[in-house]
Amino acid sequence: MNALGRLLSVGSEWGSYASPIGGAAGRGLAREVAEEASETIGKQFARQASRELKPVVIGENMRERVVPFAQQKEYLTINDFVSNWSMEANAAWIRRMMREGRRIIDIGPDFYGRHAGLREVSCHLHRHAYALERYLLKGYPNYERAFVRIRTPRGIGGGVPGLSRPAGSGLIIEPFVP
Amino acid sequence: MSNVSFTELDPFNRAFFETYLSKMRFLEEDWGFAKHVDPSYYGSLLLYTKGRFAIMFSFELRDNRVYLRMQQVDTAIPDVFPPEAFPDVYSRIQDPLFELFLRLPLREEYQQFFSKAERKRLEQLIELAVVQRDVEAARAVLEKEAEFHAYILRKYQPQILQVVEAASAESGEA
Repeated sequence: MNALGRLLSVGSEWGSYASPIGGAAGRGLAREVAEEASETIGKQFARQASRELKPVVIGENMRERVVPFAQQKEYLTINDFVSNWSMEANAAWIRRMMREGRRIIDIGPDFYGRHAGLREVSCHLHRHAYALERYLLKGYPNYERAFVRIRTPRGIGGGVPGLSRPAGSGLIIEPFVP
Repeated sequence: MSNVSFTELDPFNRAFFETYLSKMRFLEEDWGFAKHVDPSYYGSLLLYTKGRFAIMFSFELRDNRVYLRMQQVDTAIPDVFPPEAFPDVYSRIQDPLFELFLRLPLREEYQQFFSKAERKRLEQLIELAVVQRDVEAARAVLEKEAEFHAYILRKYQPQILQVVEAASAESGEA
């Protein structure tokens, strides 16, 4: 929104410079010049804005991977935008991030979780948020993959080199009293 | 976070806590672990600790699933997996409970615990929970998965407690 605010204020500023030309024709000309200038400058600023907007992080396991990675890098996640989650809201969020031209950093599947997990969900686009996100992002130029994927005797492995799940000691809080 | 009220939570995180707190009561009552909670919309955490060891249940809202992990509370677990593919990273970890956890044949246990028909039914419930945001379906899935996690913990109780108690005795903890 700040980027958009700056964009609008630049257009207005250009218009105020042009308006003193004088008369109705002058005002019309000024408006045309201002609009054309706003459009040109708008595109430039939109590009600049996309560079200035914080990147967002996607991947499996919000709690243990996506949010800690984003915090470490000072990036954002869906958590910062969508407070009432649904698959539709998730898809709309990804589309919005793409429209805004944001860098989208993919930290990939939770390979560890898949080992320890009870079920395989990634192949079901319609009911697996991360799979849907990957699908929607196909061909998106500002998509960046931050994880490695390797084949091992146990199947596919990988992850984000250098990333650790937060140690549990940081999560110990006061005993729960229901 | 203290004084957590279930009424402040969204229905899915509430279902997670209600289900797991009920099914894992034996960890407190029989095993002597202390419980801790950390609610968060996209992924709440339920933690049971004894000495420096923890059994963790991490809820993933978007998939309506729960990750189980056992480890020392101060071990930072690398994101890369499996250990044999990243030996340098894993050689730095000295955590007997996490090592035990990595050896558990969870996938095989899961296949044996649930019949094919039960797994199919679970898949249907998961779809209802995630796509339709059906809280009762989500709760039913969580109930089944909590039963499985409780089964695993009880089945491997001797090995788990051996690690926990041996380390506690070494360090002179109660």
